[in-house]
Amino acid sequence: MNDDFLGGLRGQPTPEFKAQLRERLRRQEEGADTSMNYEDLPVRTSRRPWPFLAAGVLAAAVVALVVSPALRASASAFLEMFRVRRFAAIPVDPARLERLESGTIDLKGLLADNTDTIQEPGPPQFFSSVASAGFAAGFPIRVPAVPPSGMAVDTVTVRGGGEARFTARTTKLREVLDALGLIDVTIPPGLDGAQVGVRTSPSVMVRYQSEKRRIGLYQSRSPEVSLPPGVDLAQVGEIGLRIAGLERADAERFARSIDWHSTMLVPMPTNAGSFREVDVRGNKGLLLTTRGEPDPSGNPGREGSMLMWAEGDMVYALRGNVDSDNLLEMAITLQ
Amino acid sequence: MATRDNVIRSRFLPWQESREADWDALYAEHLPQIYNFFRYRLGNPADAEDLTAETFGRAWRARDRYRRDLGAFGGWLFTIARNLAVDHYRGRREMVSLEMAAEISGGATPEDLSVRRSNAERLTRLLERLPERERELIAWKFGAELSNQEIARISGLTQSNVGTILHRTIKQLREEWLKEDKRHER
Repeated sequence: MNDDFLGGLRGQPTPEFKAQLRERLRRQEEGADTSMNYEDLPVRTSRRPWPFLAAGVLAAAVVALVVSPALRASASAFLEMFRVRRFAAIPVDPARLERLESGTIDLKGLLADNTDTIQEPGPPQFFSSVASAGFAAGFPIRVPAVPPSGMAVDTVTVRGGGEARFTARTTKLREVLDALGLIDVTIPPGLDGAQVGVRTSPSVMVRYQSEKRRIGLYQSRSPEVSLPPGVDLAQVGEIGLRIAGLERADAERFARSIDWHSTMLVPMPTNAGSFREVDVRGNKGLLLTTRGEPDPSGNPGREGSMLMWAEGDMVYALRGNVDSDNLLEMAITLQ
Repeated sequence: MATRDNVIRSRFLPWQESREADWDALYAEHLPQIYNFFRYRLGNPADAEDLTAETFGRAWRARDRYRRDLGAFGGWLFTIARNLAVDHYRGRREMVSLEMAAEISGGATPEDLSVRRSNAERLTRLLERLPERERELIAWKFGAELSNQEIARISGLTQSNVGTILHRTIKQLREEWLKEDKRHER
């Protein structure tokens, strides 16, 4: 038997469809329909705004990049405790995030009071070219083959590597949990005094800019983390998920399904936008789209998109006030 | 800033001067590929039309940047199509399962049997049973009619892996097809 049967589904689109779509594209080419929404075609696809990510999540907090400068310091320190292989998102309650940011919960002190800095990354250094920045960073910098339309490189900066050691203090953690009313959370008995070593590599940020649009391309080797034996990452991660606002059952379920050694969690406030998993040249990436709506305090939100993915031992992120397709296009043409 | 401009130009504009884009020709070439990719990937002609329109709509917005590099534009189309298929498949998984359950459990009328015997219907049902990755590779191979090398570039798999997975999947489909033939002969 030959494989002719496998051609049984192949066919031509109907002439009506071909003509209709070509006409719409032609109008777009002529600029007469640049704002055309393809959803005016009879699209019957099912779109879920909050796709469930079965692969699991990790208790870190890139949420700071989306909503909160206050959380950024503690969040970035926490997320660097992993060798990142993939990103995943989880919707979280914005009220909890607001509470964490309010200053009444000493989340930052959880890490800052127990950190021994071995090497400071130092301030970002400016470079006049991508090539010289790559030389300083110690890895070849990749840039998109197709530049963002109408945009040019504005600045290229390199931030040095860093190294720090964190000592877990369960009394401080207990204070945070109690302040949040999480009295049912059990802290692993062996956690107090455990030391976690974190070493980050130099990172490069290439910023593109036009009159109204900005895009930042971040790239770095994945951070390296040394953990003491016996630390149950899933249990610690579950605590992180509870702090982020997940119910006990959800936190337990997520914590047990995640590869905590390689997955970076991106908590996404449910009122801030949407996320979806995308493919970036065979690697799973996470694409966030924020709506730019003001938060409950009336502060303006950030409208735009952010794409994160890992390739080999490198981690990449693109962020800007542009359409998510623009970021995806840049990502797949990096060279 | 001439030096910086030169660096940027050398990195961002590596393609050579070439013919201007013929969008009609490009549309004629890629439309059947994208449409048939979705036919194999999703099974439903209406969904295939919807997602084909969505794919071209998104890609067309960036067409100016590919005016002199049409090969890259094809890759951009395939990437959009791939991601749209993944999104669509996730959203519809539950519904497809229910449809299949109804088909399996329902009493077959002579008309149903007639429809089932059509090659397209049979192939659609066999493809629905494949894991996502295998189905996607079959869609690129037999829907879009891409080479293993092209599929490797899109999927991120090695060319050797693409060949191995396709060989195994085709063998499995052939065996299932023959089994159905035998069932119908009884």
